[in-house]
Amino acid sequence: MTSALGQGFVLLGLIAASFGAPFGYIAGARRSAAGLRWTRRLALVFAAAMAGACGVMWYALLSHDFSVSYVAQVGSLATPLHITIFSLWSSLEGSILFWGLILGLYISAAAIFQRRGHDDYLAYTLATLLGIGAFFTFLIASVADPFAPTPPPVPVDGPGPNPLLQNHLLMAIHPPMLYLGYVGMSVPFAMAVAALLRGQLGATWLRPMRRWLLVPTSFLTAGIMLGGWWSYEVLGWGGYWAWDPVENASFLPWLTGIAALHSGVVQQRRGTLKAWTVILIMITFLLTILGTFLTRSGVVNSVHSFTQSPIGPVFLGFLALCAAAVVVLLSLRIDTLVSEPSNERLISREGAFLLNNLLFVSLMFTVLVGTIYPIVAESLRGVKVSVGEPYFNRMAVPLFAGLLLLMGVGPALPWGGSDPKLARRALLRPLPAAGVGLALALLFGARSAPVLIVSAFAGFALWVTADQGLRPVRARRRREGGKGPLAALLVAPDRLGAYVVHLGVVVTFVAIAVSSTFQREAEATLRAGETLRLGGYEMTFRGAELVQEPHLERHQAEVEVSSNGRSRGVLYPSLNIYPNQREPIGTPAVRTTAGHDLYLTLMNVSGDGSIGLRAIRTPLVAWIWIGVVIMVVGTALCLIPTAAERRAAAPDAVPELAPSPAGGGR
Amino acid sequence: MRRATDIPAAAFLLFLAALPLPTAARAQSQDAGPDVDLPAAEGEYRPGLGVEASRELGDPQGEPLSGEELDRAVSLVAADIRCPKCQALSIADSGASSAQAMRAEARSLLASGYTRDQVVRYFEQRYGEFVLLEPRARGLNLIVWTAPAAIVLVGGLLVARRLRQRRRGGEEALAAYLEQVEQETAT
Amino acid sequence: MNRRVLLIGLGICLPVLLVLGFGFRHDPQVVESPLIGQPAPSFRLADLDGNVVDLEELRGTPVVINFWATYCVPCWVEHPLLMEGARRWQGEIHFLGVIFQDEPSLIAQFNAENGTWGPSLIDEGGRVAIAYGVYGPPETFFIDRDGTIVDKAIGAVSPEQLLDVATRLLSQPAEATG
Repeated sequence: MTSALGQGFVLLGLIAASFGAPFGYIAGARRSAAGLRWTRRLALVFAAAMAGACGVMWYALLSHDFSVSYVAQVGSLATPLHITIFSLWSSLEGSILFWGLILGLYISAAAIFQRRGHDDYLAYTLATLLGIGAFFTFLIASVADPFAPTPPPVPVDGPGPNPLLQNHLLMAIHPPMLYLGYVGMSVPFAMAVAALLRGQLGATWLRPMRRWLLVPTSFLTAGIMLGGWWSYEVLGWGGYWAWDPVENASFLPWLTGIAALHSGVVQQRRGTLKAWTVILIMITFLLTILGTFLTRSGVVNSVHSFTQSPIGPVFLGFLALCAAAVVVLLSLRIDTLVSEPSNERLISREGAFLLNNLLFVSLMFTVLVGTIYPIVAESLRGVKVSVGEPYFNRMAVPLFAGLLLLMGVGPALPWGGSDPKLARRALLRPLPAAGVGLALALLFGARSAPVLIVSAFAGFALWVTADQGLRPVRARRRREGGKGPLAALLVAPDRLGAYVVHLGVVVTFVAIAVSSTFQREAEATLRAGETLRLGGYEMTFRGAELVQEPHLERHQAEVEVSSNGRSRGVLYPSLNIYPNQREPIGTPAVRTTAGHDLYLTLMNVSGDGSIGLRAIRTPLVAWIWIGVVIMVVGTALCLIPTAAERRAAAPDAVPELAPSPAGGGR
Repeated sequence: MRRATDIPAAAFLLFLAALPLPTAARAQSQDAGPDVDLPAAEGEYRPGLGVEASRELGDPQGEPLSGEELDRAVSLVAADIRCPKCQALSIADSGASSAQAMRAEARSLLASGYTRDQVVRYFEQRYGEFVLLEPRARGLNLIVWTAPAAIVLVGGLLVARRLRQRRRGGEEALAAYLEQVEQETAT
Repeated sequence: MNRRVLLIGLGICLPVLLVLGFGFRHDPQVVESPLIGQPAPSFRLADLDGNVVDLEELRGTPVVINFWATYCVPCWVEHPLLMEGARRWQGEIHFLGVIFQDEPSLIAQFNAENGTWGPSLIDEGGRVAIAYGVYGPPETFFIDRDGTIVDKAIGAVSPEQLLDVATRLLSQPAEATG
């Protein structure tokens, strides 16, 4: 019964999407208002069907209806309620159903919020989104059917979700964030397709597109960060990023998404880079599909892989179809997007943006090549190889350092082909800040070249970011205007937001550089009463106990922490043993301070009551997360309409500023 | 030689008879207290037992290390070796028991004078190229080593070409604009 | 139609798609051992009762070395097959078990209840497992009379493979050894 209801909703979604897509394209080609209305209705039907299907699945999960195969696969009577709710996305079929729900949300949001001033593109946009929706509902209805009835006999209890996913609440929010990022990239993609089909790309396209791109990029940022945090809090190896293939897969669209956001700025200011922005958006979308494929096909060895399933070839087919459509569409229509003439120099704001795009795209290709090279090696040489952390660090660190440098240099430079002397002076002014950064690093005992370089670049970037970010306030003060400094900043919240994001990036960069260089660790076998020492800390093992919980057994060690003769509290690293898994899963215990983290992992508990304890002291880890939070806040600021937009939103407003032929700071 | 074609059948029958075995074994392992086992502490081997690494590796080509120098050498080697049991983690990062054993092995080899290169080669000979987190720069692997530089280079050339064209284009556009203004003011 | 865009687009997308397609032909979990065809690393290990086994001394007779543990399910599955094999080729092929990251007490208990097919050797520190490049239990190495590793099984040994390799090992003339 439940199975049939769920399958019914999926079928409804499939029908709405596969009719809506061609319908929308026809409506778009004929510029039919009635056609657009119907396309919007079908889009809303699709969204409702997806919501219905997910609702049915949640109902089945919560009522432990093991006649539904997905529930029999991930459900368990002993699993706590909140974990049962999250188990919707804990396994392959459910995660694709959840994917459909998010796509539905985005489609309905596009259908509702894009009504005004975007009719030119909307039919095409919705048609493309529904096309993607048709593929996903097809997947759910065929090879990844979570609603398939369980073959009899129906079990009375299930195994419960993967223990790793049960171990921490972050698992509840990390995947949805990532999906919101991945799926959200479909909207700018659909808008780019619409722009190509229309053959025009004006301000009415660019503004909303940037916003629709900003939202998923921000979700992706948060999702990647939460993944790192989860890995740090749960996996117990003391790190947050392992360059695992699936981590890389989420990183790829993030890189090109950010590149597209930056090239969009140039397009907005100078009317150039139109075709390039569209290409970047399309690459970003293809990379999200590639990432999903890598996660779900099992072709790469990864901690995140779902089990091997027939879904892989189908997904690869979809990826090939999308890639072919993108390449053909681009080659047919790209010449319709004509950039304005402009004068560009290397040492100018535009030049910095070009280099920024160059570095982001190079970084993306580097990570892509490293990620799929093991498959190449195996196919051609018949040998399994690994491309891992040392390689990626070696390759990516210089590129990231370059980006950090550009983040300081770019905003300091004036737009356009202005006087080179002016540009030189703009670059000399922040140099003392770079010196301060370098001196601070030396003072704290840094001697390794990468850290010193990053510190100097960070000082430079920080000065420029603050200088540029606060420029409206200074301008206001000079003019003795009536509004306060905050109001002055909020005249152009997107500008402020951009510099807030940059601030977050600098914080995260520095924190990553320092934390990965100055990590120290110690490991020992301790009997009760014995002490392990590390970096000024004394950790005394008091004893271990076995805690019984309904769905797991936990060995919990009590470790008293003190430094400088003062007690710093008690930490409880533990090892969880799930009934259906032999290898225990550790839960580290972390003491976080502004300066560093003390990270304790329980390696093992032996019969005689002694434990293996590993302690890691890592500086500045907390600032990685703080930096990302600053980035997300900055992005939120960017989404607030600017004063100009607020005026434009008012009735009978004049269209927005056309790209100005000669630049000049804002 | 004895013919043994009936083995699969016999084995299958035995397998059927042994089906209750897993449950029995599981029950045992739960009775036996905490089944979280402790690997032997680093460096404690009974003399004369185990593997003689020297026979596999040849003579040590470096100086025996100890103390902090040894710690540093161990973590350098460990960071480059992939933990065979886990995914994408090095044996330096992984807490898996086999990773701990491999760290201990690296430590004992380095302590007896084997060089970093010898130790890495030892692991590579045993587990295959798969355990090297950084592929060796030879043969097909050169793709991975040259690609990033090649991409930056090609991209850089494209950017340079664009800047040159734009400079010219900008000047032409400006000239055309001035000409137009001149014509309009003339009439 | 912009030819350049078409060619560049295809030039980037096609190789990536081809590579991903090739990915399906391989199981990412199975890694071939580079030791096949190489001399088996020699070792001296004591079993649960303290009797020392030296691989070197077994030269001249084929050897099957199985790395196993009580917590590994495929090890239970292959146990009866190894029992049968050890019985069938008694005196012709040596069957050695090496304990992989497990407690000797659990192994003893397991053996007491399910029988043994050969000595259970204690590999302290897991050094022998490292010398053989063992990824995880069970892994089985087949060594011929000359002490060369001729084959390796990852996961539970299948009856077909055991029979096939054993036949190959025994067909090698005994005189060939030096």
